[in-house]
Amino acid sequence: MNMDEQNRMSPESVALEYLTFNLGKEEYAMDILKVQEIRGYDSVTRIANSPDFMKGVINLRGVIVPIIDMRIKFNLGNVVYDEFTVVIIINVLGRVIGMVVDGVSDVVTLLPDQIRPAPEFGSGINSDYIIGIGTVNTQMLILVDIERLIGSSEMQLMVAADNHLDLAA
Amino acid sequence: MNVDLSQFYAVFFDESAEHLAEMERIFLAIDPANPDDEELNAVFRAAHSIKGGAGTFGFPDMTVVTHTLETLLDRVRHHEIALTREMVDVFLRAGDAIAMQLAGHRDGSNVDQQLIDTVCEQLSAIAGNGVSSPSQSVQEPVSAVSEQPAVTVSPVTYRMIFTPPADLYTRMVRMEPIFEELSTMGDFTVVARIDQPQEFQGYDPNRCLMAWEMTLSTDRSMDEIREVFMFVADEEELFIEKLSPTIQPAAATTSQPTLPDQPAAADDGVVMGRRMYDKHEAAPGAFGRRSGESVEASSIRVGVAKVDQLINQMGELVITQAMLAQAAKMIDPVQFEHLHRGLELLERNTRDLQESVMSIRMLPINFIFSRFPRLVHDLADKLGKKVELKLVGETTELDKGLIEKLADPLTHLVRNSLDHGIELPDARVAVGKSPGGTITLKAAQQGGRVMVEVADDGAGLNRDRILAKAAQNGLQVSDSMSDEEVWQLIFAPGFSTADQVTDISGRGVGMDVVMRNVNAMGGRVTIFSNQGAGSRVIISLPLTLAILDGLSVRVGNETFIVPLNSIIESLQPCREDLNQIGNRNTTIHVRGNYLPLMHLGTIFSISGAVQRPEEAVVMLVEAEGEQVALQVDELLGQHQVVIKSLETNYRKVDGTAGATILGDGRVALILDTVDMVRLWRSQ
Repeated sequence: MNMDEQNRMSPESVALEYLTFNLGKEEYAMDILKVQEIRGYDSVTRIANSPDFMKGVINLRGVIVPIIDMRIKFNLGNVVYDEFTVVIIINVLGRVIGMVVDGVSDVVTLLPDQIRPAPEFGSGINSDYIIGIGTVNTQMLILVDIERLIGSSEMQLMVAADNHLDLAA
Repeated sequence: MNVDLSQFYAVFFDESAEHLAEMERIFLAIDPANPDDEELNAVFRAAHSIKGGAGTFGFPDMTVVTHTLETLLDRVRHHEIALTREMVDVFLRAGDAIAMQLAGHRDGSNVDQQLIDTVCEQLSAIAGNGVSSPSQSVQEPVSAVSEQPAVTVSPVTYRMIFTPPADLYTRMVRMEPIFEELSTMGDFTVVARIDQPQEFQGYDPNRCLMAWEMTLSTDRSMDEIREVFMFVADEEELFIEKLSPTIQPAAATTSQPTLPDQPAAADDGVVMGRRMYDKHEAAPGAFGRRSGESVEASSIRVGVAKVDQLINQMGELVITQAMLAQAAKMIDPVQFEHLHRGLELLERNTRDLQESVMSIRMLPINFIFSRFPRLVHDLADKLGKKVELKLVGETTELDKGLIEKLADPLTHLVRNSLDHGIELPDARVAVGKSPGGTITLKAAQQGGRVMVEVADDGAGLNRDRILAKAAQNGLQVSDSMSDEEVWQLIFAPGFSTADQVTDISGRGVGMDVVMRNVNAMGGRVTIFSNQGAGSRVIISLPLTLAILDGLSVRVGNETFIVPLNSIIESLQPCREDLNQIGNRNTTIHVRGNYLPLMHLGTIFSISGAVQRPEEAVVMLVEAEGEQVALQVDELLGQHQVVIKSLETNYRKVDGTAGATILGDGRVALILDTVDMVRLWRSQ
């Protein structure tokens, strides 16, 4: 960041930092403030009768954390689990959740004018959960609204109390 | 100095609520004909403390009611007025009024001013009546004007001599505020005196060698004067005598040259090392102590969040210890004897620590039992029934979280017993019972569970009526059902056999709520009933929500924890005990019972689970009063596990009651047998 940018601190021009990660060939980015840590993939405890992208739960220093595999969820990349598999532990909506991705590459700073609205295009992630497209040098990043994505009903991570009652009935 | 008092409000609210509860408890237990002096003093002190607090924190409306109550109580405890049943009722209502005001300040809830005025009027009316009627047993000489039907008592002159210990000043006590307060009570004079002349050399200005002689002409009681000295003087340091009420205050001041009856303690002058906060230990007889203060003084208030954090961290320690123990198994015990001995010690210490930490959250069940005497008292009056409430085992301890959730179900059960169980006095006499019924609330610990029982000697459940009503409500019933099955019917939502809906019970929202709440706590409800002789409802609860005794089982390569308290037995089935019914249902024959066999591997779709029951292990488990057989591959071992919620970061998982962390750091799901049976049925 150069001095010019630092001096222009009006709300519209505050630069935000994003963590970039890969799913298949696409490059995504998310607000770094939502990221708690990045770790390798450990063995998980499977949760019966849950969707296939829900890998299970792990013990993260005494906290039970669910692990979702974004590659399975969005049908991107090849799903292998090895020592290079990366889990991004995010902290959104008061919950700690682990996301399996193909890889984590960089932290980039984006100014608002570097972000363009997302076109209707066929990316893996539904455009409802995309903030926009960021460009750094010539690289294009898909900015994911991770909070919205995790909170969405299609992830089935939240209580969905009605759902549960239906099952019981 | 402008101090923001609001930070202390919470403490005041809590303490006042406790005082109110204490007052209520005493009033309900008190025998008006023969009240216990100590208890009267205790209620007076409770009222006084609330008044003091309300004044300090600026809630004048509360001060008004409490003051009226306090004045009256003061006279009752001095036997100036005889206590009657009606008075106790008014006192109870006054307690309610104060509680309402308290709630108003705390939660901003509505305050019914009219009710408060009524209570104040009633209190004043008693105060008026009380004096005109002759006092029953006057222990202290009361001023000669007590026959006047007015609350005011003509001034009495007291002579006080305060001989402080020499460390008075070093205890940071200042006399000026005390003198000031006394002077607001009436005509007040004070003379300082030095009895022991002191060499000027070696004089220590920090030592107090003075005594004060005071006279006060006031309409207040001697106890009120003592209260002023409450935090300053021990009993033996303060001498108060009542001079004849007719003597003018000025006459008593200088005429007496010597201090009469100086207590021996005052003569030594020096009591070394006494601090203000030591007072209760140093002077067990000190007045102004509240009953039970010794317990209170040695406790501290800590936020629940802090305790929960401690319990969580304790859980981590238990897991870490288990991990270490597991890792140490690989290490040669001969070569590393020290390490193994250290780990053994660690295990023992961890277990002790865990026990202590868990006990922090435990509260005596009296915490909720104590509300029932009032409830029963009020409801019995309202229904025209005579009911005696017996509390047994109030000291049984239970996790705080459970105690709070138990309050509603218990209230429902007690109301039910009162309304439907206990008959009217005439009806009782007609069937040869005593006119007064009894409701017993009992708590006891049995193994890892706590049994809470609500029993009454009333009419009991009416089998025919329940069956008829159930049929009417469209439930599946038959006359051949066992009693136990019939009693279970009353837990159906909307079920009520009461002929009419009263405002106490009968709307049929009771028992299903009881069942649901208790189940949510991991508890069970059992009913026993004898028509005509009464009924007993037993709630069985786990001791705590945080830790569970469980058996770890393996299915395929997955591990699950089955709560030990739901396991009845486990066995290796034989071919001939198994019966295939339809495509996928199997029953197992155990000692004359045919139980449905559930395969855990199928319920949780686990690959690699043993399919044939005769090669697996079958556990008989209890789920909502019925027995089912559960097939697993192998039993691994018994553990104490720390229950972790899956809902914190994920959601409820069907068939489970949460998760735990095993010794190797992996997560294992804890099975909820009731939920699992439901899941199995729905599949």
